[in-house]
Amino acid sequence: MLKKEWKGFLYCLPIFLFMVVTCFYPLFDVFRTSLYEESLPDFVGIKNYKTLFQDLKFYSSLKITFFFTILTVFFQLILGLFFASLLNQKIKFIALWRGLHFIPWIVPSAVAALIGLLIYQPAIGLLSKIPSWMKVIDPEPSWLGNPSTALIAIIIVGVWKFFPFFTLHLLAGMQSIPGDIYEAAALDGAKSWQKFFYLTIPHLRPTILTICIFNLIWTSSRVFDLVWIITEGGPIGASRVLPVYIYQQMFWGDNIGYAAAISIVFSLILMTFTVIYIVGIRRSED
Amino acid sequence: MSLRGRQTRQTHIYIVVVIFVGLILLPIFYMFLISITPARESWLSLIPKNPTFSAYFKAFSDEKLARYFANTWILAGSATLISLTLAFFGGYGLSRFRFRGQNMFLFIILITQGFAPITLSISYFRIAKVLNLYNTYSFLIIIYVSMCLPFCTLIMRSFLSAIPREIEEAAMIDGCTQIDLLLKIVLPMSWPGIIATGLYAFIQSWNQYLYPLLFTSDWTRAPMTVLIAAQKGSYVVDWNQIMVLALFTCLPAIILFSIFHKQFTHSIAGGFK
Repeated sequence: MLKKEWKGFLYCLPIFLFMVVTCFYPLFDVFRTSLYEESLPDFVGIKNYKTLFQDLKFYSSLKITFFFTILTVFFQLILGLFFASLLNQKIKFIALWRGLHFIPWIVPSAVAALIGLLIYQPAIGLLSKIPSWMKVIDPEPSWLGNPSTALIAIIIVGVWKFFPFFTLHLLAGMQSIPGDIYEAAALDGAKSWQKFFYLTIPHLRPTILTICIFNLIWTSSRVFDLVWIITEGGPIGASRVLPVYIYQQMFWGDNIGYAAAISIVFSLILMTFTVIYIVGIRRSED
Repeated sequence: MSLRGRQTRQTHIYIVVVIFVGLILLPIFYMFLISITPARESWLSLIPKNPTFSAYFKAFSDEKLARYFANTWILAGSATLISLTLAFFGGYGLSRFRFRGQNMFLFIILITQGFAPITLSISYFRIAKVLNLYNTYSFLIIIYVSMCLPFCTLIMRSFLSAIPREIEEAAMIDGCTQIDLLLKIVLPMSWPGIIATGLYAFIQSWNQYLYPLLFTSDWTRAPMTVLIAAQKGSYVVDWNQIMVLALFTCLPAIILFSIFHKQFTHSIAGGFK
């Protein structure tokens, strides 16, 4: 038995070592960097963190990241539910349509960001052409130049790009729901929307929770690509999410230790959610 | 419901599905539309009056573009191969053996998904400087693998668990060595898993932007994503050129996905269990 245990251990060893070297050591290294100030050779301890807790820009970035993540995941869920219901039909070529709707997820963030940038361009972008003959909205809205709309513009791109992930999982969940409960409900006189809210959604609740938490983590940690390409942090920092702020501190700040400190705080927040997520998965497996 | 009524309802649903999926793909159509629109003047109208493929010809004649494209293939392809190998062994170990620390191993692997790339980059910079690996393929490939590996391992594990052990046990009784067992029996049976894992790793690596932005410095190593993002900064923005590049960047992933999409959707759903 012990020999068998060793074999399993050995198979997993390369991956373990690889991840320790490429992820855990660097994280520790970043923590160590945060305890120094770039220009001073000596250990400065938590000085960077003290500065951090008084930095208004940090708090605004935190707030912006929070809003961005919550809103993005929320609308991804809505859109995901909608498309999952839509694609849960038995019509011809449904596999084709399911495959096609997945394309936004496959497209690189950089490409999605550029298409978004183009669409939002005043005068030549797609969006500016519609209002001109609808005459409802101001003919030359500058979505990206306006601090109040820049973040929303990026959220829309983010939702578009990642919602198929939700659809995929929700669809799989929907297909595992036994059909008889719907029939029973129909016999009791339930209408479609009632069936949806009182039968489908409760059944999907564990799936919804899992993918929402997962996407909260995923979105906040990987939002850099979209934001940087579309607005570089937005007009007057309106879309400056934490990864962007860290990037700015890395290259235009005078203290890499400070950027490291922000990163560590950011990582702590993310790790809390990751642990919640992993524990949740483990709980549902048992 | 009568047969006629049901057919009508089917048609209605079909139309709705087509409309909404079409709406989702609207940006992609737009990308193509702009790519065939001749230079600046025509962008003021929605449909180009004189569509032309001149932007495509210009792109094809640029040797640097070929290099960027090749770089993306090299980076994504190598990362995929390495991820597949490591994930195959790890998935096999996880699905076949029960050992102490197994759960801890999974926990450690999964928690790395919560490490933001920007955070790790601060350290990667120092490492690149010390080891003199700035602007090299290998450095980026290793980082790419670290991003894909956790999920790839999960996906391989779920696919490998589905392979019955009786075949392996029978082979062992017949005197098969462990290596032969793996390569000649398990490997051929795990093709769906390999395709699914490979697709995931490839698309993840192909789509990387931040890491190559930080760790490549010129056209000899940079992938397509860095190239197209750099276009927006230029003084004169030729959107049709940019959209041609964007199409080039999307196309391989989309083509691969359309060939292998069934395995792929299995993998994403399966990797979560």
